[in-house]
Amino acid sequence: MDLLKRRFLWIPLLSFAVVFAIDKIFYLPVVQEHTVDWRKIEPLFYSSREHLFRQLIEEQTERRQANLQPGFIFGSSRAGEFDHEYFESRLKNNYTYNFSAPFSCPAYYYYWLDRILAAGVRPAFVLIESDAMTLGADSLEYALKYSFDARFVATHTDLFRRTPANIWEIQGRGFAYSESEDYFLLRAFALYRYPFDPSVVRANNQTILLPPLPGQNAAPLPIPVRAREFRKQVEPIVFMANEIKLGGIPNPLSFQVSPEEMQKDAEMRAARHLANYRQSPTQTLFFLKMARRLAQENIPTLVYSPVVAREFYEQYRRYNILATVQAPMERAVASIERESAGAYVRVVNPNEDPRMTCRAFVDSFHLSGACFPNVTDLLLEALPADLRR
Amino acid sequence: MLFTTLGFLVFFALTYLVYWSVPGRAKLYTLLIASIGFYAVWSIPFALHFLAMVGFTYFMVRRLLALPDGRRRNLTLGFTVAVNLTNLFLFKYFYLLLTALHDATDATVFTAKAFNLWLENRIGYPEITLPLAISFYTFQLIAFAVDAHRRQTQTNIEPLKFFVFILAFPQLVAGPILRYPDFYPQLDAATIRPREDYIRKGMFLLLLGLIKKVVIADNMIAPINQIYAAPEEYSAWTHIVAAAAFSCRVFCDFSGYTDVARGIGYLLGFHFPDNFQAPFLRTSLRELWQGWHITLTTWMRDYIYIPLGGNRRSPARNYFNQILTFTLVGAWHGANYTYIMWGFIHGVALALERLFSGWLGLGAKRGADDFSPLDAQAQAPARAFVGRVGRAALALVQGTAVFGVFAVGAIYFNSANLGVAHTIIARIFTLAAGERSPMIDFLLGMIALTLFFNWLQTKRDVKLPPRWLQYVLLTLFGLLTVALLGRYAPGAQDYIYFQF
Repeated sequence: MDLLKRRFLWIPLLSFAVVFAIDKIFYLPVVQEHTVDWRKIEPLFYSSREHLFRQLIEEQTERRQANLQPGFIFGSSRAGEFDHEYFESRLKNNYTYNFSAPFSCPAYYYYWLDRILAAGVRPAFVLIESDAMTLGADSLEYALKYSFDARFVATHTDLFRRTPANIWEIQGRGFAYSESEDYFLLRAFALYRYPFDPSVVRANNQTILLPPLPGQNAAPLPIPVRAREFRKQVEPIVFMANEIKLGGIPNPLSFQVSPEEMQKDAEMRAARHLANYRQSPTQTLFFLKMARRLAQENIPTLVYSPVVAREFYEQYRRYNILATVQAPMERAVASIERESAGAYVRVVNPNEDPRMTCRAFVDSFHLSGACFPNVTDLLLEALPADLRR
Repeated sequence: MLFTTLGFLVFFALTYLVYWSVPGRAKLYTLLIASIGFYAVWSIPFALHFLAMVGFTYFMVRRLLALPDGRRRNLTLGFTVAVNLTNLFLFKYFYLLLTALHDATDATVFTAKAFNLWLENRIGYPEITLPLAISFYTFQLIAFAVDAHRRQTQTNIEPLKFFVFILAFPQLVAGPILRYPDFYPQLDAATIRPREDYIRKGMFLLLLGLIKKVVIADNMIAPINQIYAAPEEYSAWTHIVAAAAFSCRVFCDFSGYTDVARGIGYLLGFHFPDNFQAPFLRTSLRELWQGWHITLTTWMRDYIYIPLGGNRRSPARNYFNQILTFTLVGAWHGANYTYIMWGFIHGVALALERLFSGWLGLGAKRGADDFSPLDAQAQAPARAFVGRVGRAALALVQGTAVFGVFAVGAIYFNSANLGVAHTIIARIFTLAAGERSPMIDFLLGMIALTLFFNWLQTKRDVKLPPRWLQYVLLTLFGLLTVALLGRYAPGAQDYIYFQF
């Protein structure tokens, strides 16, 4: 029993315990105010989805009594601007929640679908954003950091998983063991989830000029505030937007950058995301699970391939993404629909649709808010006729 | 299981607690069970395969020790080595053989694709999987058998100790390649005692290794790979920096792994030999190789180079032995022409260095069986005329040249095929114009840090503060490590040497 006789054997464990305890300081809001970059709003969006879910549950009884059935949008920032009012104006007895979050992915969509169905909510329809980006190997990072719960991850982990030669034939529970391990590591150490960077502390304490925010008394000039105050001010607005806009952030503004800049942006993003592109077995698996589950439940489902700038779509062609990711995805969806009687699961790719005429983009990834009515019309047209007004 | 993961942290904490709570031989059983579990997390079937190979070799070692000298004993050794090498060949070099046959005959039946199709149809597996650590454990098993044949081991080899010797998890996946005198004598249950100095060393090495691996090596992957993915687009300067950076990445990755492995070894009461001793601060290739992957190069020296005749034969034969040995070092790393070329280049470079060393005044005196001997003259003409400053300048030039040769060789190591390597080398030597990677400054910073870590390895007898202060500093170092890992860890990446 050396452990009892030689006290120095406890020192590595004690030392680790001290480090582990100090690390927890970085979870305190008062510390995070200084250590989390004021520009980093992704965690806020992810946590706001929890708030949105609670709102859904609270509103559910009342809406059901009014004979209304919810629709759900699951996507990344490229689906954030879908407006529930626009959906409601064109669908019968509907109200639509938007669970989109920055850099999200099918695993994240499945997590929310699972919770929604478990809460006894039956969707009128589901819209899933899916393309090479959401199915890519890097797409899990943000969701793993800021979303999911331990139970979901633990019950959706494959200890041993083999990826078949055809990735679309993958089977399993969900996460690879290493991804699940990363999730718990991120939860165990605050410094992994919210890394410490001295330059961020400095930046958070600088003064910035903040434009008057909605709900505040209109001020004639931008207000100087400490940068770290920004998140504090934005947080209630995001939650308020949840309540009013059901998770969406519609934006009527039309941005348009020059063709030269768009080309440069498309090439830069392609070099980063497509040059060494790897499709994620985990995301593919969750995508298939979600599509199958929705098909089996006979919930009308649209798989939306988000509109990107033509310059970026050309990069998809250049890197053979359309043939290696988009086409197999479309085949997989068609196959899932055939498997279940009465299923309605369709892929909508407005990039290939000549009726997608509004083509203003913030950057090569993001369609301008002003063009969302155009893309929404194309999507709604693909829904079963009995849902439409 | 990667050392950088939460799973390993929990696994090691539990193993440590149980290991130091149980008496005597139970420690070895604990270590054995933990080690089998450590490997089985990667693959249960391959863990059984591994155990079968260890069991087979143990049985043959027992026979070797029991047999009298003579033909039967030699045949037993030959059979043991052949079975181990066949196992290695089957899993590691089969595809290389197919490629060579395909290149020679152009027959489609010899393509990996055709073979994999056949394999999937007949057996249901899409390809031959390379078992984790196969190159390392094969060499350890062969070395043990050869040492037993040479009667350089005890006559009574215990199965428990033999299995722990091969399977011990800190060194299991990527070395150091332990040999009988390095580790087996330490497995005497009566002598496994906790030592406070080992605990401190272990904690320090573990943390240092994590920083080298996660903060430096892993963060160099993306910018280097980007350059190697489109070599024709980048300038000569970018390629020079990328080649040097890749050498540094391999050093930080592998030396980081070794530090962690040794650190864990110390925490469990064992001393493992070091694998790196400031290789990038050496002034001859021979010295560099004396400080680079030491346990592999000494293995090659003792079990291949010397049996081939070492440097006791004619000069031409010596050069041949050296080139052949290094070509095999290259082939050990991977079943690919690029690795073989990498080893061959180093063999040739060492032979040339040896040939010209007298004239250049490099290196040291030749030993009876120097692995890469140099015919250096202690009073070489070039050295006789230079003073202290001159010597320092010469050392700088020599060191840079030696690192340059190593970095050029590393281009082969990191290239997908020979064509990519030749494109990069051609662009460097023709000083080709092209794009300058925006990450050059970052890579140069990482190279500087790597040289600092090399320098750190030259500091052996540092005066240490009082014990309590050492523990406080180690705890602060631990906190710094967690902060750095959180900030810079781009996700757990496999160690480079895990593929070997």
